[in-house]
Amino acid sequence: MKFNDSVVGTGLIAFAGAIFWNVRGFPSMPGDQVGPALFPQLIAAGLAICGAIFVIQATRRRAGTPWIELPDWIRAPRQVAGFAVVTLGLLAYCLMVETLGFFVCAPLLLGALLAVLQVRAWTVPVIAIGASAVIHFIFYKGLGVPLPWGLLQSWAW
Amino acid sequence: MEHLVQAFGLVFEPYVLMVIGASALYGLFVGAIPGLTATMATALLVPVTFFMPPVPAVAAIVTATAMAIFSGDIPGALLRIPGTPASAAYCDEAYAMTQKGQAETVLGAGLVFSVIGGIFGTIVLVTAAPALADVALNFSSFEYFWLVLLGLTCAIFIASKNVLKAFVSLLIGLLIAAVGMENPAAFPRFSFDEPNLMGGISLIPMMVGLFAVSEVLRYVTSIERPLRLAQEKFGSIFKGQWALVRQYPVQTLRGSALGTLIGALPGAGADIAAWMSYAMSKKFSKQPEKFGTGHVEGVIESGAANNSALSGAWIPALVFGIPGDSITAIAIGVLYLKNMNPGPMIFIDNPQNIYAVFIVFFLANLMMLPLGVLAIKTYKQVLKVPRAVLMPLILLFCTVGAFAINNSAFDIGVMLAFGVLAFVMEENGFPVAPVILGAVLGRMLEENFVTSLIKADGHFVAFFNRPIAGVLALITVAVWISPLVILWWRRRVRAVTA
Repeated sequence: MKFNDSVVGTGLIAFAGAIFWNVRGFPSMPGDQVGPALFPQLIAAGLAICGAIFVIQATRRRAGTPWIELPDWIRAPRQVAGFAVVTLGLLAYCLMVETLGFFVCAPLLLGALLAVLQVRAWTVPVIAIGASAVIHFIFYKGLGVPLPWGLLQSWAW
Repeated sequence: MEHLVQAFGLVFEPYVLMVIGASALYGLFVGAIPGLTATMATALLVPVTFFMPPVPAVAAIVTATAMAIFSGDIPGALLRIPGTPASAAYCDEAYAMTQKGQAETVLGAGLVFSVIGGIFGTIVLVTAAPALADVALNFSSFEYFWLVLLGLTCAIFIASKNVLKAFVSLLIGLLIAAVGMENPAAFPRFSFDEPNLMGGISLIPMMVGLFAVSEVLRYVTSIERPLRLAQEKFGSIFKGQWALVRQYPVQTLRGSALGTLIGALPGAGADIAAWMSYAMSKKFSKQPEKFGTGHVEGVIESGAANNSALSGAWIPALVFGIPGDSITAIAIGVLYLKNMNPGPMIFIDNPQNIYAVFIVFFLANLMMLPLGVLAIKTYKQVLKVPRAVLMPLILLFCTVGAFAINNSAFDIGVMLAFGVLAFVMEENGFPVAPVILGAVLGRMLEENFVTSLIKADGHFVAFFNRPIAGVLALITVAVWISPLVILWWRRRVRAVTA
C-alpha cells in the first residue's frame, strides 16, 4: 500500500500532535529543567517538521498521484489470502494461544498458510502437525520455554 | 596472555564448536535462499541464543552472518537474484560471468575474497577495538551524547538514499525507545496502563517482526516465479584464484579497507559497503568499460568489502555499544540480555569473552573456505527446499521465539505489529535500519543528554568544552550541514556555467 507524500506528511503531523497531547500532563522534575516530556517533545517536533516538508514537496510537485495507491497483489486472491492469514492468523494466535494452547493454534496457523501457499494437499496436515511437534520439542523440552497447553492441559508432559 | 588462553578454552569446547558448526550451515543455507537475508538469519537465531551462555550466543551470530553474506553471492551468480542485499551490487556482473561460462571463477572469487575481506576486517577489529576502548574509558556523558548523535547522524545522512525518510524512520525508533519507565525520571511514558509496556517494548520480538515477519509478508504477497539455475555442475572452484589474488592486490585491499570503514559507521552495513566498493572499483579501474559485461574486478573488490563490513560493524558495537549495522544492533540486544553490556568496561571486566569473540571471527572466516565449496556444489539440492513450506515454518519459529523471550503472548502481538510496520514502511520507501538503531540507542541518547544537561547546570557551552566532545560535536554538525553546502555548491557551479 503506497501513500502519497501529502498523506504521509499529514499523517506525521497528526501523529506529532498526538504525542504532544499525550505528554502534556507529564510531571516536571523538581529542581531540573528537563522532565520526562522533553525527549518525546523533541521527537514530535522532528516528526512534525518532516511531515511539513513532505506536504510542501508534494504541493510543489503538484503531481496527480492518488492519495493511496493499492499494491498490485491486492487483485490476486491468493496473495490477499496469504497476507490475511499471516496478519489475522497471527493476531488470533496471539489472543487465543493461552486458552486454546500451542498444539491447537500452531498446526492451525501453519496449515492455513501452507494451504494458501498451495503446498500439496495431503502434505499440509502432515507438515503442520509434524513441524509443530518438532518446534514444541525444541523449545519446550530443549530450551524450557513453557509453551501454553490450554485445552490439552490434562495431556501435558 | 592468560586471558587469551582462557579465551581459547572458551571457544574450543565441544558445545561451542558444535554451535559454530551448526550456525555455519544455517548461515550458508539462509544466505543462499533468495528472500532470506543475513539480518533475518540473525533475528531468527536470537530466540535460540537467548538460552546459551554469552560466548556461544555471540559465536552463533558471528558465524551465521559471515556465511550468509558469502552465500548470498551464489544465487546472484546462478539465478541473477541476490541471496542477501549485500550481494545486490555485483549480482548482474556475476551472472554475466556465469553466462560467459565462468561460473567457477566468479563463485570462487566470491568465496576467496569474502574470506580475505573477512579476515582483514577481523584484524582491524582486533587491533582497533581494544585501543579505542582505552580512549573510551575517559569518556563522560558529553562524549557519549555526541558519539550517539554522530552515529545516528551517519545512519541517516550517509547510509540512506532519502535523508528525509530515513530521519522519519529514526524518529520512530527513538519514540519506541521512549516507551515505558526506563527513562531518567522513571516516569511511565506511552504505556497506556498496559503492564506489558511498563518495561518498554521488548527489543527481540520487535526485531523478529521488523526483519523476519516482514520478509514472510513480502513473500506471501509476491508472485513467485520458478527459479532456473544457469549452471548446475561445477568444476574446481579454486582454479585460477591465486592468479586473481596476485592480479588485483590493490582492489582487494581497497575493498577490504573501505568495507571495514563503512561497516564501522553506524547504520551502514555490508550492502552499502558493497555498493560503494563496486562504484569505487569501477572509478579507479584501468578497464572501466568492462564493468557490467562479466568482469571479475568489481566482484573481487565489493565481495571483499561486504564481508569486511561485518567485522567492522562490531568495532563501535563492542567499544561504545553503538551498533555499526542492523545485525550488530540485534547482537547488542543479545549482549544486554546476557548482562554483557557492551562498552569499554567489557574489555577490562571480561577480556576473555572479547578475545573469544575475536577467535570466533577468525575461525568463522577460515571455515568458510571448505564449507563455501560445499554450499556451491550442493546448491542445486538447496534450491529444492520449497519456499512455500519454508516460509510458514519460519513464521511459526518467529512466533514461538518471540514468545520465548518473556514467556508472554503479548510479545507475539508486538512482533506482528512491527512486521506489518516494516512491510508498509518498505513499500513506501522508508528504510527499516534507522528504526532499529533509534530503538537501541534512544535510551542511551536521552540518558546521556539529561545527565550532561544536569552536569552543565543549563549552560549548553559545557557540551563543547571537553576536547573530544568538542571534536565529535564539530563532526556531527558538519555532517548535518553538508547537504546544504553541497546544494549551495551545485547552485553556484550552475550559476557560473550558465
